[in-house]
Amino acid sequence: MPSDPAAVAAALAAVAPAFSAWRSAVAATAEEVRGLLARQAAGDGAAAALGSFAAGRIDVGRFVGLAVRRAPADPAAAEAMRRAAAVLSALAGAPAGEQCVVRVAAGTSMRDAVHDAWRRLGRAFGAAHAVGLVQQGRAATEAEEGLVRGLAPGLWTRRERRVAPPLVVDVAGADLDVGALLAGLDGGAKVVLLVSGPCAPAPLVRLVTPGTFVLQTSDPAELAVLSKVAGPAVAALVPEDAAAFVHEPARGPTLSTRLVLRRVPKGAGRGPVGPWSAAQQAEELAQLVALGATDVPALASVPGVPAVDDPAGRVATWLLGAVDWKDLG
Amino acid sequence: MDTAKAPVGDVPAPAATSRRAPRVLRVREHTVEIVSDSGEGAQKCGQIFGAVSAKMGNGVWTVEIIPAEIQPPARTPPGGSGNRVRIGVGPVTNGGDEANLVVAFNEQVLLGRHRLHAIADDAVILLDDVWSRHDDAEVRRQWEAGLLELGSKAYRIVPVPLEEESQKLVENPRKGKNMFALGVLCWIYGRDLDRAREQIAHQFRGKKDATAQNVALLDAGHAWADAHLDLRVDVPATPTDAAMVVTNGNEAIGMGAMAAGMSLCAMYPITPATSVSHYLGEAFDRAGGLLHQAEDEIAAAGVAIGASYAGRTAFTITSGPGLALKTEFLGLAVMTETPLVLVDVQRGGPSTGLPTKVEQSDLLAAMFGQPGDAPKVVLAPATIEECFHVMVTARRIAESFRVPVLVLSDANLATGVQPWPRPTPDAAWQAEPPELTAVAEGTKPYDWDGRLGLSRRVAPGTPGGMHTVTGLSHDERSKVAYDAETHARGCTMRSRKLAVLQQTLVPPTVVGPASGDLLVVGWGSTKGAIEEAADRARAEGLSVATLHLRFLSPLEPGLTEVFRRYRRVMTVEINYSDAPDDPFVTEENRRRGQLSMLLRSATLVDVDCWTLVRGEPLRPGQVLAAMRRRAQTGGGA
Repeated sequence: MPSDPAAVAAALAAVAPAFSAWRSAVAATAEEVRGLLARQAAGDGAAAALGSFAAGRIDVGRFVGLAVRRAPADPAAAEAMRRAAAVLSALAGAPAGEQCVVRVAAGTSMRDAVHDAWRRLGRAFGAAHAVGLVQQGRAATEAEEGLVRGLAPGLWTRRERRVAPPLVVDVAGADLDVGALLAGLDGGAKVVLLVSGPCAPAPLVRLVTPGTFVLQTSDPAELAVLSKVAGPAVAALVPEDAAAFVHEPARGPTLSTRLVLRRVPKGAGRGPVGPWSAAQQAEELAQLVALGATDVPALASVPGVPAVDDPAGRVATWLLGAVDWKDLG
Repeated sequence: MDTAKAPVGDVPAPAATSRRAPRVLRVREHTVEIVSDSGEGAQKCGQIFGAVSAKMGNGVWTVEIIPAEIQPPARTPPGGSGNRVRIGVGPVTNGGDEANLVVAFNEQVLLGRHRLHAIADDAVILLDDVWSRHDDAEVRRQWEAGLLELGSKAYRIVPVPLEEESQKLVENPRKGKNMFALGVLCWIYGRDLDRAREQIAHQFRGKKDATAQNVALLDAGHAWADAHLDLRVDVPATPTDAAMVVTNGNEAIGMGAMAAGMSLCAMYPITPATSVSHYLGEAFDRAGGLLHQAEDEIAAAGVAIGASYAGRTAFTITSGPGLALKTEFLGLAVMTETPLVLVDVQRGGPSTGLPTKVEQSDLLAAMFGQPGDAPKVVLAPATIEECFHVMVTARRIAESFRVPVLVLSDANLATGVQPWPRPTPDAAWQAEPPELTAVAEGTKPYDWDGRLGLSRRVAPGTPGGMHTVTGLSHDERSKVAYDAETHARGCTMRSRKLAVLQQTLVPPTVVGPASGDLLVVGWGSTKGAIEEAADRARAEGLSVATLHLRFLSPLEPGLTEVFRRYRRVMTVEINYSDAPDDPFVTEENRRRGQLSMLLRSATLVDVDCWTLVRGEPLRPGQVLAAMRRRAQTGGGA
């Protein structure tokens, strides 16, 4: 059963800044590629490339004739550029509602639906890579064509992950598979899950990691907080009989300060929900309660590395802080 | 404006009781200086005042007044720190001659400017007179002696209680007087207070408390001036719809490097170049790129050359002493034909010289400062706007010709602030990476075109292009070869590239009469002062033209023909030259300005020179005086 339009609208509003950042990056790239194509067509790239300081001081025609080695015009390269430009323009032009909302049909794989969406939106990054290949003289290769067809999040660069396109996933509780999000929940990724129908009580607990914002709520108004989160963030709008909690990395160095349990359903005496057995659901709920009561300062402080009280924790914090984590993504 | 001389040692009391309705002086331009002890923030006051004026639509040029020492003793004439801000109705291209209004935090730093003849005879001076009531008798004695000396000019000295009034708002007035003074200046010049508040918020971004306190001081200064001062100056602003940016030259270089697609800057801190890295540190962090602070100047050059060799576009930035240290590596870049852009923000020399002061003394070192024959390209931007655009051209030349390109800026451009048209970056500026497509096995890394000296760059990793790079004399395959023929051919090819580049250059444009009595040739930051002086000279009826060079190696074409259209040719430079009538100096042994030497050897024309090495930007009045002497008498300047 698809979620109501108001919930979708609230979700789209929550991811609007992330969508705007992604679309700006795509639009700027599209503009650059169109500029390259236009200059190639007009043959004036060399004059532009020399810049304004050269205007009136360098005879561009002579400069090009003597010093610029130009590759012969390659129709395949031009075609590859046009393909990339078309992909970029299409992605830059479509609204968020068309591009970011993924509806998972009942009984189908959320993993496939989400990964297809990311691959489709990742064509923007693939097109930019393809243009780079063309500029290096490697046009019309299989690799270039593949990039334009789709690029999975595992192949996005660290910078691309910072402007990752957001997703709003409309899914039945029985088909909810939060593991499907792991491949893309990084950088600046934002995902909102609109869960309808019977649902496990604490499915998002599996996504709680020190740097990831995780919100499980039944109140659509709460989704707005996502627009203020800088790092990776996932939020799920769940039925009222599920747990409600928020894990905010910015709130503090320890798990207990970051995780706030707002509602914990009593008991897990439920039947299976989709592929999730009652025991698994109980495990998730128990894990949520345990995390809320746990304080593991040294590990919880990575990579922010604030001070902790116990000496062993301080040593561990120092060691972990000395590691350069930023290139791991 | 009332220019009545203030009684020596008897400064009139603040005009609270005798304030007249303010008279407004409407002028096309005005020059104001703010000067304090180092650490009292006069520079920040001047920077904000300049930025606000520029944003309101005035032409602006600022010159930093910087002591040579980081923390000189307080209350000493050479220790003054601050800013000169020249504002005008139209564009302003230089710092001008003398200040018309000075805000001085004490009489000693004021004396420093007075002794440098930086203040107009009829200037208005707003002087903090707290020192006249100081507990220390020696300070009071210095005050009285100082005012006696200042009495030699017809300054109108107006006491302003900067310290006492600031103390009402801040505990330490050393940290507040500057913003109080800014408020006073905003009142005198009718500056938009909201813009001033915005600029303060920008300067102190991230420090809410400091912003609030400084805004309070600004408002207090403004209110005090409104209640007590009787002089206002109106330099009409002409707001424009065109998008403008207000930067100094170092920021412009940093922006230009990014616009040119340079993604790595390797440097070692050195005054006055360091602020380029401050800018890039922030900008690269947001937009991508790597600022590498190396362990020393030599390593910085090595990193830049290595990155460039590997295919990244890299540059390094330094000042004179750093250029000296980079000498060996620059030779390696020439020998291996590795593209490299090196920015030298010149300062006074030799050795560590005058770290904070301007000079144009690195020209010949940039061109010839290597052992062996090491041809390089040398460019010199003449304005802050050109500091941005030169980086694009420098990169393109470096990569097209596989040659180091040295960009000579200087301390005047580095710290001067001016509004200039916001550039529209072009994707074409960001040159493509080196071609990495496979080459035929055995392709030579120096496969010189025998006519042009040019060869395709084979970056490491290029399939088929494997080679060993060496700084030793080598043949086209990059194999070490010491034989005479190979070495001579390598020298020829590396030199030929500069001749080819010179053949692509357009003859320079002369400003002024196409022929006449005197042609003044300049380079770098002196353009504004030279052209303003020439305008004044022509207004006096002198036949003076100017020519400003941007390409110094190779030189722009057609100079001999241009020079021969004038009876005399003279360079104007900020470097050393012997005066013709100095003891022991003869025509044969006279050391001339560096550009002058270069032009004489290249054109065989008797190019004279007029130079100053006072650590200051040239003033148009000084240049005009030299033009008059040279044009009218033909005698030595």
